[in-house]
Amino acid sequence: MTPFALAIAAVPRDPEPDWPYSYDPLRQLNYSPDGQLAAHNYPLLLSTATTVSSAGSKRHCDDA
Amino acid sequence: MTVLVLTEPGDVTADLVIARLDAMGAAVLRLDPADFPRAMALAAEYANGRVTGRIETAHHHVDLDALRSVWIRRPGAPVAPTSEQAAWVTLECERALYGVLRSLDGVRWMNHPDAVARSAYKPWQLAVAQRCGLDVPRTVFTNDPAAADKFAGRGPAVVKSVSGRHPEDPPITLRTTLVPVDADYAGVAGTATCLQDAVDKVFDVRVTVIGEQVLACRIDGEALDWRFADQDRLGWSPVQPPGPVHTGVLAYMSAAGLAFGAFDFAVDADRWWFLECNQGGQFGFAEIRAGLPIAQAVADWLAPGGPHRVPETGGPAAP
Repeated sequence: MTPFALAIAAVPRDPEPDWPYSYDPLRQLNYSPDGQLAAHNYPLLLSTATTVSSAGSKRHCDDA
Repeated sequence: MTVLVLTEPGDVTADLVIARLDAMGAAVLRLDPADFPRAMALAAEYANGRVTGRIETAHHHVDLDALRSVWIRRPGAPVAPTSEQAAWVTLECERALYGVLRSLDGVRWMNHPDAVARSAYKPWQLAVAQRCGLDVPRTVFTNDPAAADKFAGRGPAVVKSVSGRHPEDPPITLRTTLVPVDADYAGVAGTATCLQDAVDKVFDVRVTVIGEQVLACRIDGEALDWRFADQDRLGWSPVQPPGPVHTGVLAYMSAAGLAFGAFDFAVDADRWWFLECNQGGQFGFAEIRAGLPIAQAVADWLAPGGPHRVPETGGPAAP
């Protein structure tokens, strides 16, 4: 028996995008390849959807 | 004094806050519990009525008595470095790390694990919201197909996840979805199901509360569940909640023991309807899209009375 919510509301999940920035463990922040602080690059963050409400929901209860 | 941030490396929303803490001159230790025990070290000694010790990563450390606050943002779970009794090894690490942090006096939590656990239950959320004077849509949790059918028969209803989590095997997303008028409710017997009156909404609001600071973002669009809509096609603007809603969310925060909460409201012609409060809700989009100073508010809460903040250093406003 398929649970009701799955029958009505389920859609395939998009794969998580590759992040165009990397974590610097010394500075404890993420940086773009050009050295720019990712958190200051709003167009980058919007384009990768890493700050939207559905981000990370599968692992971190970030989007209940 | 140091702010401890527990989150995964790629969490750029945490970066929004850490960059501000750095600018304020506040000491920060960022770590992901997923690195414990492989790439971080913990030593805590209980003797002579005191707790002493430190937490170390490859580049940073903090003495336990220097911890000012703990921000549980998006932590991974400890990962056993061996296949031998891996579940037990993971449990040992989890109990040690969070047990030590829980044992420290005078540390501020955003949010305390007990408050996090309690707040994860949606029926509990609705009851607390009602007690705090917030309007809650008629809602049913049931595995009885007849009860579900009867509930939905009184008017348009939506179905949503009880837990707020999404299935993983295989990975799929559950969006809040309008129940068709000819729905077959037999599947309600398959697991617990949440149905809720569909709000004839004019707009949505995400209210983010940090301590006693209330920052709200109005979201205009036609999607029933704006979280999964094309974000570029939504309207974003700061909004001031009505007095009773402002009072209600602060009462909720107090009742839940939360320092951070992300509330979702659906607003119709008359009322702001409480949908849920996510204790770990995402806020980067509200910061960027609507210009709400949430990251600074979080930083100020985590490092109260610390070095004075410096002028805003964030990036350009979103188009």
